[in-house]
Amino acid sequence: MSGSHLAVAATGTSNSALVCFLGYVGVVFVIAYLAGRARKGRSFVGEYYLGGRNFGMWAFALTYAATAASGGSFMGFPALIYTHGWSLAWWICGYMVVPLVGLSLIAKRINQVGRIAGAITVPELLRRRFGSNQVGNVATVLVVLFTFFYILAQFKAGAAIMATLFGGIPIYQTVVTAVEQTVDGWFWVGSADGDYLVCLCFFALAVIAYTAYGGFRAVVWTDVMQGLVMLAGVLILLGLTLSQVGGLENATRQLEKQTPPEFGTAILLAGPGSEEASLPKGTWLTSEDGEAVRLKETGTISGEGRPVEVLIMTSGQTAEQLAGEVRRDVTVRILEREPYKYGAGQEGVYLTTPGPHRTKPEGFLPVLLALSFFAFWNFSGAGQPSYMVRQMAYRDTIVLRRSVLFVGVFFTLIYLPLVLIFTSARVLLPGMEIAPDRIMPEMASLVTSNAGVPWLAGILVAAPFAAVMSSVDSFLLLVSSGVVRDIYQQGSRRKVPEKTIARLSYWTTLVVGVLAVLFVLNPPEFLQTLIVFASGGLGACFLVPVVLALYWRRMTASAAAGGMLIGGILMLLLYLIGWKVNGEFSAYSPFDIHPFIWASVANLLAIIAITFMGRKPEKELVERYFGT
Amino acid sequence: MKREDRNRRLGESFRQASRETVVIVIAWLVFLSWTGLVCGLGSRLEPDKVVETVYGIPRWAFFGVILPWIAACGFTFWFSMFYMKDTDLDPDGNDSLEDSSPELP
Repeated sequence: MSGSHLAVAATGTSNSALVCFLGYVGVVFVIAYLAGRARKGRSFVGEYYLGGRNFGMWAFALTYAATAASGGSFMGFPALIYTHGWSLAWWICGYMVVPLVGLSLIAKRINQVGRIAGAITVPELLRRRFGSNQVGNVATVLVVLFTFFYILAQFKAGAAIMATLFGGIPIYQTVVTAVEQTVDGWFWVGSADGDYLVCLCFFALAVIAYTAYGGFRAVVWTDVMQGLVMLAGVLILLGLTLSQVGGLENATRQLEKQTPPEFGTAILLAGPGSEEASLPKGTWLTSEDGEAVRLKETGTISGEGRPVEVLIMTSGQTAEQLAGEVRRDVTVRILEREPYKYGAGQEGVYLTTPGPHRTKPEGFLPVLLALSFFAFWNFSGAGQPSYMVRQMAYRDTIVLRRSVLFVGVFFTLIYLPLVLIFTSARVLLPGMEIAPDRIMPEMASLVTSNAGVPWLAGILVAAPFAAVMSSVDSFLLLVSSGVVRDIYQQGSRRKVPEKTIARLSYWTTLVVGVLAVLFVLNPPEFLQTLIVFASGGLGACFLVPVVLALYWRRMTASAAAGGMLIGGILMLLLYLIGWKVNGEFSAYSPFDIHPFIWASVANLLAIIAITFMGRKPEKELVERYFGT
Repeated sequence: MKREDRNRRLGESFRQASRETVVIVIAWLVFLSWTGLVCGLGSRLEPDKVVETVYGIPRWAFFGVILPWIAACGFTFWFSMFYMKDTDLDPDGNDSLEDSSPELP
């Protein structure tokens, strides 16, 4: 694909995506309005934060699945598959038991204990289970702290996805230019790109508005729609991709011949008859040795010979495939080349493990890392308060049993097809290493155009929107419930009128959202690290204490509070050490073991030690939650 | 409902939930071992050897990921439809969501 072709494809995708996105946001607002109406005449707090604890199979299963599939599933994961090949099948395969571990491990007990306790939030559940305000306060502080970090990261991810998809639209570009000129020189905001600011404000406005008005029920109902959009998008993309690549066997055989490309720098030399000009990012050219080369940035043909970053294809088959796309009037003189540290020159490396890697000599996925991901997907997910709240909201165990099965089928139909689609994408769309995060919209554009249904691209690219939105809204409400229910209502000495609570809830959701936007107006640098830190931190704080609170009669209030604090502090400490040691915000992993594991183990040991040092809990409290 | 009866029924449901948890943990270990052994032993790149495929999928991925994934779906079906028991989630019979007070009882 030539540079101009890439630009046209992007514009086509973006036009469809814009129309689709606006229609999609419209539907979301209608759902929020209906959810707000459905709440009338019922207890506000229970409805706003827990949807009346009455969700059926579709609502419960799809809200769980949609929240689990964040933007990473549709932007980051496809980019990883494209870059590292079939090894991602092993990397993601822990999801085969996520419905069992993430959903069944605590769902029955947490719903039952939540009902006995009359709890609406996770901190409240812990407070009542142990009969201790101290436990509830510690849990509230930790939920608000780590969840806020997560919201920051998701807002940035949402804005980045929009900016990626809408880049080619003229009206959008006009607005972006105007915004850039306006904010130039402003404190905090001035250094951010205009397109990022426009997308952030639009994305945040939509999510904050429908979440604040509609509450938990709106979040769950939109999750249902978002889940169905994701499923339909993936299955349509799978069918179109496999038919165009000539079947899976053909795709795999062609992939086997591919070797990892090389990154490098080069100068562009004008051929006879060509003029000095600027070539867009993505343009295909030929090197002096006949290799296919792709511009990683805008390049200028001039006598000065300014070096540009390029991607050098190393598979001869790729150069043949691109024969019609390469500009022959410009030649590339390669100055430097950087082969992959693992997999360079090896055919078959995209079909095997550990998978090629540009900087790691051990490859993308060593065995121990693969095994630890099998644990990470299951247990870090099970420890997220946002999932726990959903497990407190279903109606009865019939709903739970059917939902476990439904989520199992849903994950199977999402994650396995993604591997097939984006390994095939290496054959259909070579050279996307220059912008791997764009592979999803580019594939959507390519296969729908080839099939003669370009409008369908809009539906396909709505999937990442749906995924990010369904995660942001859940976490927004989680922080809001922590502030209103666990801090304000708990701290209030008198009974607060329902009207006051309602007003406070709307405003809190709004203020939390606006605060998060203000923080990320100057975009945080380490997005993926921030997401892993926040989700790992929540898991490290809550997984062990909540599981033991539900299953261990002997556990004490001090042990729960101590365990959560130690888990949270150790997580924070290991990241601060990482910051100091590595010079950037990143994890410090002693013996190559992730901080989440260290913090969870410390949490567990602390709980056991403190429990046995203290007195047994009151018999009445134990009987209330465990029976006899 | 008498207090003793309530506590006895709650105790039974707690023990059933505990049994289900043990089965889940065992299942997790089984699938971890299956994928770990097949992928760990069979997925490495061997020089000058064609990568075998099954239905267009690399052999190691078919037997180490696809097959256990299908088996996990089957297990999930059995577990959720036949092993997991229905339980009274509200043994006190009062949906306390109507009481919006977060104070301790």
